[in-house]
Amino acid sequence: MNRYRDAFETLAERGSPLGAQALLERIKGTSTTSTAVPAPAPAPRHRLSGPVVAVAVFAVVLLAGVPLLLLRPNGTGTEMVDPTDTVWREFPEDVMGFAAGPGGFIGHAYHSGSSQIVFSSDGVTWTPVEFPREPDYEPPPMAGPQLRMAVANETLWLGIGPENEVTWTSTNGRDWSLVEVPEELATRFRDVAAGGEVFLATISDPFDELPPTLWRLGAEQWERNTPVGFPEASDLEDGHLEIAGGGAGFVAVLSKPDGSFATWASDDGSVWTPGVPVEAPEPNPGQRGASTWVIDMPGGWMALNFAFTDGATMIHVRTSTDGLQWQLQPDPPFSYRSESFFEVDGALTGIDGQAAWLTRDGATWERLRTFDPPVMWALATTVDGQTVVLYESEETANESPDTTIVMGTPFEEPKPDPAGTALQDEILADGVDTRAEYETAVAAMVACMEDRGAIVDEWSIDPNEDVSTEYSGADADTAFWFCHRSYVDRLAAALMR
Amino acid sequence: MRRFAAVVGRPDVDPDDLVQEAFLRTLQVRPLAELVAPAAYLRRAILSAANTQRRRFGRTRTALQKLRGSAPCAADAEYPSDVAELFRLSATERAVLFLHDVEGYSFEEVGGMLEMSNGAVRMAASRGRRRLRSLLEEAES
Repeated sequence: MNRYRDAFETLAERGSPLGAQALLERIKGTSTTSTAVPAPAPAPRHRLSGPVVAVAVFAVVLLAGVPLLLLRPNGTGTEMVDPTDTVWREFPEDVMGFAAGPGGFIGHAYHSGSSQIVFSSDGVTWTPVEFPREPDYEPPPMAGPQLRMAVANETLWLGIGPENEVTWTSTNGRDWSLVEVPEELATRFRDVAAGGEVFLATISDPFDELPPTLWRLGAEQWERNTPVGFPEASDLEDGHLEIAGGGAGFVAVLSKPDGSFATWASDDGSVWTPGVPVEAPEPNPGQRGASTWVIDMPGGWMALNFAFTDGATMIHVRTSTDGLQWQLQPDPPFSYRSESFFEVDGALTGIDGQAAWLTRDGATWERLRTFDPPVMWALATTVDGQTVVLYESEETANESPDTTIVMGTPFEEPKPDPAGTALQDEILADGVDTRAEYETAVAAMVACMEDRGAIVDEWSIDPNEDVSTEYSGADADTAFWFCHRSYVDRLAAALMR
Repeated sequence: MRRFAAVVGRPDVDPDDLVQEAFLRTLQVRPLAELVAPAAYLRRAILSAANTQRRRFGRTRTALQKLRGSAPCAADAEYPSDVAELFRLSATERAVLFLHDVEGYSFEEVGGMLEMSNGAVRMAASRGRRRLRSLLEEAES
């Protein structure tokens, strides 16, 4: 429960007879039956109540290279994320990762309650960045960063102002130039796709009778595109349209809430070819919606199809070489519960709670490492030939703005135990049709842990098939992750479905 | 729906008006019965209506600022409650934090509701939390 949740509840109830009354009682100590929001007027300031607000933690990890950088907040203890971490260094900034692009990262640095945009080429040294002001634009009177969003293609950064009314470009992340935003585009676009040497922004607002419109930014100015074959308003229905960009060009994906999706592909955004529509998968019990996300991969594209149910999010993975025809891949070997996916040097990493899994082809997954606390989001770039991932995870009991960097070596995941792989294959051959089969696998996992020196005091399986294990020992964490992966992960994923 | 409207709407806008406008906009596009996920679609309509009002107000604010110099507009006055900090976030940031942290939707689902990419949703949540923390620290000092 975050500190501001009470305030959100109060805000959500404003205007309702009960909510307005409760709000006014809290503010003025009086009662009322008004259904209106109280008018702004001088009044004592009230503090948000509840536990400490969430504090984010940031980390830089070199997955592919030798050094491993990890930023963690001062004061959260020295619990090692990875047993191979070796060197710790102090870092005096609280930097929020923002975007990765040519030459490094753009981020927010926080100082005494105010934020500043900063740039770093290595994730270690951050320097302030200034953005030229648009003379006719007055930023909104709210505390916040000058930059809402930054994206980059291979050669250029694009920065977007707090209300999407101002944009800047930069070739190095340090020196920025204003790019005028046409009236029709200003404030309307939310996401921008970067591919090759151009940026594409699509805007569409059926409620304002605004059909899908494509805008293109080359080096200097936004231009309205008149693309051939781009989806029209009649194609959208109640789906939403997004564009993914990458080395292979662009893919527009129309994602429907039933899980079906359609794609269009283009080399440069001018001519679009419609793909073969993908039908909705069989809905899960209690499914309340679905969404599809397309990212570029080496030699093609990957589509992640999320199905939302209470308590869990199911995913189906499809790949395509051309963005037009999609092949369903085996289910990932982990159960996904709304954490994070991010691209790392052309590969995709999925964070399942505290474990990171990497795939380069959408079919096979490699478990990379563990994170504690779990990752909230992450981004990556390549600096000096090394992949640098900057990720944020969440802390709830720390308010220190300081961060610390730890440097170390990457975590080498051993191959799974063949006995565990065989057991899972055997059980999965006809489906996990009894709880006893699952218990057999978990018991084998426990035996595996004990063989590796862990002391397992207790284990159980709750009604949601979550495995709870109490263990201790010097290398017990490593033993748990190895044995869980070997004996249980794929069964758990199957049960989730 | 009205809880969501109350969160994303400007403080001087009645949430009921926002919900009604969203329903009207949606019905102009298609009947609710034809929507696979009407709740998600209506939330998008509410956020769209809130953003339209924000743009309208932004143009008015800029014009007034030019006329009056740097004097703040009346509607920019501080909201006298413990929700004042939330109104210093953008409507999208409030929407993301409310749907994820209060209503319990996953980031991917929030992205689908608000037509935002996975990364943009997480960035908005992170930025909103950071800004709230900064505001709290500022107030405490």
